Parts: sequence; structure tokens; C-alpha cells
Amino acid sequence: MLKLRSYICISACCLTMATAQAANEWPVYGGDSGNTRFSKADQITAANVSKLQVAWSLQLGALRSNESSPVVVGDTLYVTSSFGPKNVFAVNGKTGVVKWRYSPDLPKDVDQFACCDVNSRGVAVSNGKVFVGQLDANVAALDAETGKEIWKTQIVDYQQGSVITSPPTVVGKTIITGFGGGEYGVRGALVGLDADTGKELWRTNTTPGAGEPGSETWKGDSAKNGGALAWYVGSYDPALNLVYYGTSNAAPWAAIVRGNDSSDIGPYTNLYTASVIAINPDNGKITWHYQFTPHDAWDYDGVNELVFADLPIDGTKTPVIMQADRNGFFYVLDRRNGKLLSSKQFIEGVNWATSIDLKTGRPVETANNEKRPQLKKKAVDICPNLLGGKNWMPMSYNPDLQLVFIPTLNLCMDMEGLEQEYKRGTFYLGSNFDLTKAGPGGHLGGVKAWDPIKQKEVWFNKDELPYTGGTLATSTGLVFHGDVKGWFKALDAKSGKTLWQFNAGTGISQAPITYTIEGKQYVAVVAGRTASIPAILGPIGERMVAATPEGGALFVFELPK
Amino acid sequence: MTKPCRALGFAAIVLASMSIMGAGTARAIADPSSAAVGARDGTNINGVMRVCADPDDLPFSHAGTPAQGIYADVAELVASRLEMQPEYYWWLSVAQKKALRNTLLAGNCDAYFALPPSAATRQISISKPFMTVSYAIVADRGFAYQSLTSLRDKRVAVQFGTPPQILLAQAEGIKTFTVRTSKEGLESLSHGDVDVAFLWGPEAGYLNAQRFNSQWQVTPVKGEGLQTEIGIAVRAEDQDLLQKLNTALDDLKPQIEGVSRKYAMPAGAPVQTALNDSGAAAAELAKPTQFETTSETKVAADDASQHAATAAPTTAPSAAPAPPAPTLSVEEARSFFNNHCSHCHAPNAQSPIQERDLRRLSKRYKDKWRDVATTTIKKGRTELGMPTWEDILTDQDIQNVLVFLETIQKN
Repeated sequence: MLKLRSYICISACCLTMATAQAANEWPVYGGDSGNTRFSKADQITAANVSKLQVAWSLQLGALRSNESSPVVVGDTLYVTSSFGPKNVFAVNGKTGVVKWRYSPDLPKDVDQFACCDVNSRGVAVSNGKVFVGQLDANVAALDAETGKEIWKTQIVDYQQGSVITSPPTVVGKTIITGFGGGEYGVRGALVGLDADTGKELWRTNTTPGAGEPGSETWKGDSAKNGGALAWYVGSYDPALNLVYYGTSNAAPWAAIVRGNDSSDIGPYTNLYTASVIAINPDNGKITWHYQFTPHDAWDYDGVNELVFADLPIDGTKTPVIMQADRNGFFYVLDRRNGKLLSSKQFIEGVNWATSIDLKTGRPVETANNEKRPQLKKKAVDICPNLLGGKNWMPMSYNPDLQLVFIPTLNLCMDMEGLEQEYKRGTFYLGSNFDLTKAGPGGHLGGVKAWDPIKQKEVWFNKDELPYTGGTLATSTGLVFHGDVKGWFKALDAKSGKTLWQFNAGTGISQAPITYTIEGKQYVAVVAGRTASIPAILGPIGERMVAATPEGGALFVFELPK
Repeated sequence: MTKPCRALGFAAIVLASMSIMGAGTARAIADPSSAAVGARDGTNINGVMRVCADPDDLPFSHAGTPAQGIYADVAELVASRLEMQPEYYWWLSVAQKKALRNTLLAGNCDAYFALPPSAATRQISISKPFMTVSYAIVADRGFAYQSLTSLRDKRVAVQFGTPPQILLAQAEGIKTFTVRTSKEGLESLSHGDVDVAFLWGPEAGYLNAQRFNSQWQVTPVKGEGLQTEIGIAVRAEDQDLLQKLNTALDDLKPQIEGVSRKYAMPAGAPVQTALNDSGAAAAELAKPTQFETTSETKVAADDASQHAATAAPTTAPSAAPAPPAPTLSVEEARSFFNNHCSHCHAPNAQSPIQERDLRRLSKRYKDKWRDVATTTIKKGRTELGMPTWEDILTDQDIQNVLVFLETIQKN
């Protein structure tokens, strides 16, 4: 009996290896270039997940907001720490033995220019090189075998508040990166670099120049300082040869500088802020765009990851992009042309707009500017708050179940006209906001299973704290994610029921990954509680800080031998 | 190599925390590192006023040896009034709340330069104001600015993210040209891209004197969000310190006016500026004398009479006194370094611990590394285990250390 069982197991393993090459690696940030965070690795199942145990762990050498999503190529796992990154590690994915460590020298003042903490979300790996974006706004290429720096290219001046926190998108020999910033009137751009030399190939501004198409959507010369920073990760569709990036909110905060100070926005939509743009990776040209939040006044960045699926739309299998936007709406767009196919609120209580008009693609804002902050006019109880219905923590998509697993947020805000900050010896304009309001129901976050075809909730695990971690979906019907209390959980994808959990001792924001080496499946997650988010959440932030200390470690799990 | 080094670093930290908790009088002489630690043990030692300011924000403050700028000069005046020495903790004020969290509220200093009275919170008190700062209209000397109406049909440079940008966005008939910095604003004026620039007065006045030969007239304005008084911020619980500062500031009024002149702050009665102000009402406030005070010679003369300690023959803020010339050869300097610093920074400064590896200074601090090194050697970083050396090493010694460090920078 025993013998028979082990025989069956071995052949099952072999079958897995033969049929699902993609199940072995985790070659890119989102698992694949469509950011689905779905794995066909099938050893860990609902039946055995309760036996998961730590295989090895790695101290990252930096505390504070560790947000790295590892990449696994061959038998090597690449992971970064926060603070620069302070460290980039290449380790054996099976044993955790470190192959090399790269610790770049960063200027000491970068912390002071990083608006939203000193995070690093990981690396990109391609053709024997590792590419890492740094807080000093450089992209470095390292030898994947030795960690030796091959080239380093400055993308922009970090001292204007532009830091790089996310890995670039690799398309053949082109490395594409954006950067953060905006408070000082930085104009967003995507930049293409030559993978071999680091030489800049093209640079596409994400707001139009004077006289260019789209410039009519800006008042006066405001486009040249208009924001639209593409600071998170891109997606790539090889069949269409298009790279997709989301862009940030418009700058400055005061909408009156960029157009009308009301919901009657007229021509002043402020392209391409709070949008998705599709670009040709060969030359950086913008092929199409879709704007989530025209003439933004809420700081609803449109940067959240763009997840690919092939969904039946009116009976036809259609290549789509799915995005759970900060503005609280879940969007399904045609990946070929940016046409809006459907949109629905994916959290309760969204009230800045009542719906998205499918014909025009525009939000229908709540009447009488009730929820639009204006100059010297406070709008109260706006939901969601500026962290959004979902922040950067990635969702995952299971194509077998056709379900998306979204780490949601449930916070509201008051936001008003003009607040003057006196910094660098000058008055600057900020918005005065109170973000500390719980959304309807009193929970502050949680993972939601969402049917993107029906645009409907399937189940929802509420979280009493915000900033629930990103998700991983597997073909065996599991969903993995962490939370601020440090719990790392495996859920049943159909019901949301918790099947297993492990406490990492510090909060988890980033989504886990999974990979297979020599026929054995591993699950890996970086733990290290967010530090900057509690700082803006008042009493809620105090509860987040009290939940776990800061930390910085990678945990890797396996089934017992 | 790393073991003894770590052990020593740890000892220094322990000593530092002991003296913070305890007597504060313990001042071992035999061991240079512990003596230095004893000299700088927290907030209560007489003689030190721990000041936080932005390291790169002229005309207000600039990290260097000595520190420069309006805030540094005022800090110097106030400290000396209270028989103390200012000691700086530098943090960029790019984001005000983050800066306060990491400086004053983290206990890294006791006096934060500077904030408007409106910035007072439950945690932060602000001293009596010592200065008024405002936005200003920069234009050719003949241009009589009386109200926003004066800007009609003019091309006006305005700084991104500032109250004038909002004001002009609401006004009719003014063609704005957005700039990111005051410097860019003055340059666009200089190139003839604009007729007028509506900029932050202290920067515009300073740059006008420094780089543009005081060729423009810089007229301060007032109105909602356009001007403020500023004072020194302290933690709300430090009421004793607040009182002392208030008294000192009262006594120092004439000297502080001298500081304003030294840095060419816009002077004269500010012109009321708002959307609906008529030119006539504003004109009443504008006395003809208001435009006269930024001339170069006057700045220097006043400076010399009222602020003799830092008087300079030009309007330039007093240059740092030249450090003493080094007296050692590179080889002698290396040996000096190894005798004094190698037990923590490793022989020849080649520490395998990245934070202590002094070969990386120029990479980390760029062209400011010499200033940073000088300040750090003098003042230490007790929270990281680096003692203060200013009572042990002379300026000459420190220059000698730099001679060696210069030769080993990895670029």
C-alpha cells in the first residue's frame, strides 16, 4: 500500500514537470508578464497545505517596509531588501544558500526624498542580467551569476523627489522603467534603456508637450508640471507587442491650476494622469490610453497593476486588462484598444462617483461637487480615501475559476482646499486631509474574491486592520496572502476559508510567490511591516504599529519530506 | 579584523547611554572616545543648543563648517545669548511632517528652525516670531506694483505648488509661465521669457543679490497665504526652553534685522495682494521708500555696522573661514588616521562594514563629503557609536585626517 502510494506520487511529480514548464519558475514580478500571480505548480493542495513548514529563511538586512516580490530563474531566487535596496540577494531557491549579495552605495539623503517610504519591490531578470531600480533614481544591471555591476544609468534627478521603487519591465533588449515624484512638479515619463549598455533608447513623457495631442486637456502651461508618474510595474503582451503602465494622480493637487475647480471638467481631463497607457516598446509611442479618474482631485493614482485575462465578452473570448483602481471601481478593458468593457464598484461605500458611463468611459461624479474637494471647500466622508479601494499590493487571477483575489481597503476621508505647508522655508500647497475614517461596516481591509465577468463579489474575508497583503493563486484552488499582524495564510479559493496559517512576526504587505525546483514546490513571501502608511492613519496607524514590530525577512515554505 | 572593531563600537554606545541616564559628569580622560562621548550626552548639558535645520536651503540654512544662512545666524545669536553653542542635526525639509517626525519629535534636536505660528500642534510649540517672510514681485526697477491689476497682460513666472500659482490661476488676463524654482524664475526674467516673476521673497532677494547683481526690484506682498511670521519650534513639553528663546529673541531684535539685511531679504511695506483688491487701496500701502533696501552697498554697510562678527565686504553671505592648511604628508596622515580611527574604521579606513567604510564617503555625500566628514568627526554620531572628537582633535588634526581620506575615495 505504502509502496504503491509513493510510486503514484513520483509519477505525478514527473508529469507536472513535463507538462508545466512555467510552473517551475517565477520569472517576473507578477509571475508572468500579465501580472496574474497564478501558478500551475500543483503539489501543494487543499488536502496537504496544513502541513506546510518553513524550509529556510533569509534575513534581508534592512527593516522598514519590505515590499519585495522575489523572482526565481532556474534554481536561483532573487530578492531585495528595503532602503535603496540596501541589499539584492541571489540565493539557491532550494537551500537558501546565498550566491551573492549586491549592496549599492546610495547617497545618504535619499530617505528624505522618498515620499512614501524607502521600499524596493524587487528585480527583473533576463538573459543573464538582473535589473534593479534604486531610490537614487538609477537602474543598475548586474551579472546574474556574480552580482557584479555591469552598468548603471541615472533616469532622473532623485533630488526632485523622484525615486524608483519598482522593477523595470523587460521586453527583449529593452528595459522600461518609470519613476516616482510629482510634488515638485515633476513630469512623468517612461524610459527605454538598452539591456546591454544601459543607454537610453527613448523617453516618453506621460503628459503632452505644448501643441501635442492632449495638450488641450490642460489649462495654461500646467501640463509641463502635471505629474502622471508611472512608478509601479508594467505589463507586457507579446502578441500585441504592447507594454501597459498605470499613471499617478495629476499635479499640483489644486485642480484649479489644471482646469475647472468642479465636476464640470470641460476639456480639462489632464491626460495622461490617472490612466493606463499602452506603449510600443520599440519606440515608446503611446498607442492608446484610458483614463480612470479624469481631472483628479482625490489623489487617486491609476498605477495599480494591470492584470491580463481572456474573458468571454458577449460570447467572444477577448483579451482584456483587469484593474482594481484606487478610485474603488474594477475595470475590464479591451487590451487591444483600451475600450471599456465593464466597470463596477468592488468595495462598498464608493461615493465620489455613482458609476462609470460605458459609452463615454467617464465616471459619473456625485452631484453638486459634494464629494469633490475644491479650493477652500471641504468635502467630507469621501470613500475610498486616497489609499484607494486597493493600493499597490497585487491581486491575483485564477483563470480556471475565473476569479480575481483582491486585497481591498475600506477607509474614507475628509479632504479640503488649501493647506499650507511651510517647508524648505517656503509655503507649499497641500491638501488638508483626514484619512482616519473607517469605511462602512467598520472593517478596514480584507481579501475579496471577485468575478470579473459578472463584476460581482464571491466571498470576502474582512480584516480589522488595513493594508492586507497581496495575493497568489494556484491551480490547486488555493489563495495565499499575508496581513499586517504577520499572519501568512492559505485560503480555499472557492470559499475563502483559512486552511493554514503561520505568523511571520512582522506585517506582510507584498504578495507571495511559488516555484518548483527538482520536482519540489516552494512558497515564498517577504515579511516586513509597512512603516509609512501607519504614519498617516492616526489612531488606526497606532493599531498597525502595535500589531507587529518592523522586520525584514524572506520565508520559504515546503511540504515535509 | 571586524571583531575588535565591533566590540569597541558597542562599548562607545553603552558609554553614551550610561551617561545619558546617569550623572553626565563622568568624563574619563584616559580613553579619548569615552571622554568625547561624555561631552555630548543628551539635552541637559550646559553649553549646547541642539538645532535642526535643512542642510541645503539657502538663504535659510546650509550645512557646512560653519553652518550658514539666516537660520544658522539666528541660531548662533540666540545660542550665544543663552551661553550655549549651537550643534546641528541636518534633515531636508522636503516634506515638513516627515522632517519634524525625524528631527524634533524624534529627540534629535531641541530647536527646529523654523515654523510659522500656525504650525503649532499638541506636540509642538512655536516661539515668538523673529521674522516675517513673504512672496514677492520681482521686476525691473521702475515697475510700480500696486495690485494684481498691475500684472494684467504681463507674462508672469510663477512657482509650481505655491499660493501665487493658485492666485494667478483664478485671475483673468495674466499669462503665467510655471517654473519649479525661484532660480528658474529669475532666469526666465533674465532671458526675457517673462516680464515679471511672482516668487518666494527670501530666495528671490538672495538670488537677486548673489547672481543678478541686484538688478531687479523685489517687492514683498501680503495677503492670504502670501506671508507669515516664523519662529523657532520646540517640543511642547520644553516650556522652559521656549521661555528662554522668547526672551533671547526679544533682546536680539536689532541683530536679527541685521541678518535679514545680510541675506538681502525683501524689505519695505508689503503690498496687499488678493483677487479683489483695487489698485487704489493697495497703492496707499505702498510707500515710495519700500523699494530702496536691496541695493548691494547698503546691504553690506548695514551688515558691517550691525552684525560685525560676520561682516563681509560684499553682499555674499559670509564665506566659511578657510580651514587651517594640513601639515602632514599623505603617509603621515595615514599613520595619524590609523592611530586615532582604525580601531573602529579599520586600518587604512578599509572597513568591511559598509557603514564604517570611509572609502565610500564621496559616493555617499558627493561634493559635500569633506564638510560631512569634518562635522561628523567634530560632533560625532553617538546613536551610531561615533564619538565626538572636537575636544580631542584640533581643526588642524581633522584637516590632516582629510588629507588621507582624500586619497582613498572610490569614485
